[in-house]
Amino acid sequence: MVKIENLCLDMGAFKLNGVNLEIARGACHAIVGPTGSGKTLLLETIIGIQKIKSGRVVIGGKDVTALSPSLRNISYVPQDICLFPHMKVIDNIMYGVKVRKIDPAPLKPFIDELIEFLNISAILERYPAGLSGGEKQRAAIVRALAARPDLMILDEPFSAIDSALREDARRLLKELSASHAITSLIVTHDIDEAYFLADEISVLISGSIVQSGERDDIYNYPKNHAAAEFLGVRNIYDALVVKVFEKSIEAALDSGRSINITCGCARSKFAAGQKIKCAVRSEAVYILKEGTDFFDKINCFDASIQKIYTRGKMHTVICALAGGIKIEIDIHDAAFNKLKLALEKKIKISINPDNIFMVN
Amino acid sequence: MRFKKIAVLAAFSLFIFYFILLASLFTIVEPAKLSAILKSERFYYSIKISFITAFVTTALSVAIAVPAAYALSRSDFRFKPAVDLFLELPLIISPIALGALLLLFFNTGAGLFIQNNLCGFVYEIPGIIIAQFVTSAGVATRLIKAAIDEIPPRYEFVARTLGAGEFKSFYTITLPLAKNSIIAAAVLTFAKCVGEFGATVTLAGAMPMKTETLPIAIYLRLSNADIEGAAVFILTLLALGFTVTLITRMFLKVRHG
Repeated sequence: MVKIENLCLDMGAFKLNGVNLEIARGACHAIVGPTGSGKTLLLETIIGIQKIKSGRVVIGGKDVTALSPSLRNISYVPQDICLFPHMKVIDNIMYGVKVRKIDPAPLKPFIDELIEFLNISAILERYPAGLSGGEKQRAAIVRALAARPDLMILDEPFSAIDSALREDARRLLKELSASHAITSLIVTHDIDEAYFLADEISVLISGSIVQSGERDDIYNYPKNHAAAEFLGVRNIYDALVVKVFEKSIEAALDSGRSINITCGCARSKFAAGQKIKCAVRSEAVYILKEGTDFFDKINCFDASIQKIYTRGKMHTVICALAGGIKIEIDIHDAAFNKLKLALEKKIKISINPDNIFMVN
Repeated sequence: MRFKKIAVLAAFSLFIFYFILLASLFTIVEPAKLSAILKSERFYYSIKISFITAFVTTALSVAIAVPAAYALSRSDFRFKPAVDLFLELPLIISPIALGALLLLFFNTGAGLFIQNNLCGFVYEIPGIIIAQFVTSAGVATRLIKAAIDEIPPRYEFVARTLGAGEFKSFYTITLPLAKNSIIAAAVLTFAKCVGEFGATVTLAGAMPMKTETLPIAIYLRLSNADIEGAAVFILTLLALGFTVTLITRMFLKVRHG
């Protein structure tokens, strides 16, 4: 178990404000946040490169806060990979074993297994300069794991890899983490990468963790407006609670249109007259077939298509509801063609109340 | 396009200027005189004293410049801007002024104590070394700092997370990566030391067969209106300069990708 307790750092213009994290043994935790949120700085404080103002780093019950980076047994793969350019790949891999003066014999089967798993046996005698981004990345991961660290930290691990190879690299890391029970902390601004790799996710914004929890929880229920925006929620609205029912509330959007949401989804208690922010993911809004009747459906609205953006087989449709409220809808190519969507077309949309959540 | 042509013309005119200066030397020196000077004991003494003092000074300068450059590149410490400023001294102050500064120091109480009890510097060979050191150590530090600045500190961070201490990460990562630049800096420092005149003549004097380095030999021969002799020593310094430049370029080109 790795515990980061109330970690504070003051760099003058930038601060880390009481960061708390817990990473279970063998788990992968991702820290996500926009550029400039302090992700790399947080990693550097955990590694021990930056001097902290207060707080503790505890690994396996041992407080390592006062220890130098060389004694913490935390390995680090930086964003720019940083294989030592004057050493062959094999010397890079064995660097930690050599400087720690560890007997390499007991570690050899493990290192050989890693080399085999990450398929770098052909490049062991080569210098980093001639390697591809993916090969460098895999070599750096083996180097980081060779001396069996308690925690492996990866900073934007796939940013230096071509997008075509990135998915393979992610899968390989996920399989490696699972098969070898590697405790890892990953920093990324790519939310899809975090959802794919991590068991738990923390959202870091302006030096503070605004939300931390299980991957699905973070995905489904971002708590904070900034976190929701960063996590790709593009439909966020100011609203006023009109009526409170047993399992739902009725809230009026700014324009006066009302939508229903369920309390179970909102995870909070509300009172009539309360100001709230409600949000819905663009993939959770449905476009109804032409001719569908509204009678037995709630949260159904007339809309007109204003813009369409296409990315491969996915389309983002931006619609205007009555009252000028904009809503973004992600829809797959097949459905898009079936519904014959086009600019300025009048459509009907529906939002499942369970898919609406509250943000602070 | 026209500007590019003008720029090339400017570069070429500089080359022509130096080439004419160099060619003029060969019109002065007669082969017989050249041969006589090259075989003279005084010529070899000048070469020997120049090389020995420059070698010792370069070793001292690099030994201090490497850790100093590392500290200036990687650490924030009190009075760092002041230290940084003082390293510029040899670049902005005339070598004669630096030599005079040393001469004045060795006339103070502390300086006289050193002179009388530890080592004589004024008009002595160690004076050549300290004069060369004062004018070259800052430059060596500047050159090596520029090389270390180019190496991302993350290499050391990674080395430290892999178990290396501060010195080990410097010794096994930064130093090998900066090796070629440090060698190039050492070669340039050596050349600067060999060519140093102002501070040396002020502190160590211009004594034949004692403190007669190559530049001082040129000065002494010009003082005695021995133009051909001066030209031979100038040619020697130029040959050394070209050799050093070629070696430096070779080391700066050889980099681990």
